[in-house]
Amino acid sequence: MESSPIIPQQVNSNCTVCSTAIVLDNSFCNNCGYPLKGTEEEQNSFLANRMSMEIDLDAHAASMKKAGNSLYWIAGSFTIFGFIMYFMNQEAEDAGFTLGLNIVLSGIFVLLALWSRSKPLTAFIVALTLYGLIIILNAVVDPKSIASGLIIKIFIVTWLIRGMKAAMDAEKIRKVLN
Amino acid sequence: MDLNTSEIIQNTEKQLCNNCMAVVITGSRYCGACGHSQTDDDVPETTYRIKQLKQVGLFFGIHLLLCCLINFVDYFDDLFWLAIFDATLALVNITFVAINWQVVKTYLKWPDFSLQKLSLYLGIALILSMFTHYTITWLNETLFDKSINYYYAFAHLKYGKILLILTVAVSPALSEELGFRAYLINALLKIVDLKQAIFISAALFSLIHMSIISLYWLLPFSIFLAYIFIKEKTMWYGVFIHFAFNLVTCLFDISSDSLIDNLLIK
Repeated sequence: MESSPIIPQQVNSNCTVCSTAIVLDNSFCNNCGYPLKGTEEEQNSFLANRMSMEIDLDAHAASMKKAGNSLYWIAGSFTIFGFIMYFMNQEAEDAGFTLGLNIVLSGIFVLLALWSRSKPLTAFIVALTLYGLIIILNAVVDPKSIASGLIIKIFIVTWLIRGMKAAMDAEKIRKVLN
Repeated sequence: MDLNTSEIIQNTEKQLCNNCMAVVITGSRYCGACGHSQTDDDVPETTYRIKQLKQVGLFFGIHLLLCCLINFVDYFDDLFWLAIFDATLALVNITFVAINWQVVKTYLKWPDFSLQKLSLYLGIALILSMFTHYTITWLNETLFDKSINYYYAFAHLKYGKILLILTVAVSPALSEELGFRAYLINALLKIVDLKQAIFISAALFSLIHMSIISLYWLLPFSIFLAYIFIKEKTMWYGVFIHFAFNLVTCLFDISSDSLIDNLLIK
């Protein structure tokens, strides 16, 4: 919570909602807008609205967590797929390179998943773009690959898009709730 | 000396409420008299941000489609189609700039031109380009046992060297700076903050080159270009940096091709 600009000598009590010092004779809290001198109905309406926003914030946090977890799933699937391909095609010239590339991509998705905790919107935008690009490049090499794991791909893309929207909504609500 | 309450209130910095004009202590988030919000709502509505994000998605999608066609469809694998695709991409970039002209036009000016600064940036571009050339050549030879030379495709043409420089150095420097810096960064700034806009634009610019192995130099280079764009508030330093970077690659390719020719003649 941001520190209030009000200095103690000007106050006579603290706000019941955000605990910020209240300036004498004010009708509304300077920090959260709580109607200090409002009717009981106005005060209850304010509290209900604020609680509703907090519930929304929890729902958005859950969506963002799901999107963040999907990045770990992508990372895990790339690592497993990389090793499977390596052991199936050990004789191939580029077997080592393919394994290395899959491990690097896994690492990138793990980093994006970790980053999504502090900068969810950016992490999800970059992750979705990279994931889409990998699907396209795989389809160029082997067009059948686009159909493999199609349902999982749809789920991951959906989670990431929902995560992006949730990150935007959450940022807006956090600004209001301070 | 103790101050009484009225003196303290008098000495505190104040402003007027933007709704009821009552006196509000500076820094307050709400007016104490009417409860109106006093903060500038710098987080735009989600619907507006999603609309902007869709526009960015369309911009990137068109680039991705055209780059996939030129890279992976054999039919388009010649210089004629390369020129057509380059022109189309430039047209796409110009269109998106035109749609966002009011915001972008400021960055097309170059009010504080500094020769010293330009020389410094060009020096950095040359060093980065040489580092990239040697490392990517080593990686290509080590991992794929091959070398890439853009000049081979132009060598048989009458003005091959000039065409190579126009296609690889001049055209991308202008077109990509217009699209991925002037348009894209400004569009992203409507969705995210400055640092995130720099990173996302750099990530998209790197991914559009469709070479995972080149990310190690593409990402830092595009972050550098985006940073210079924001810092200098003009796209022109970036254009020259980009041009110098690509020009060095062209010169390496031309010189290595000439060297091979000489060796073959001997």
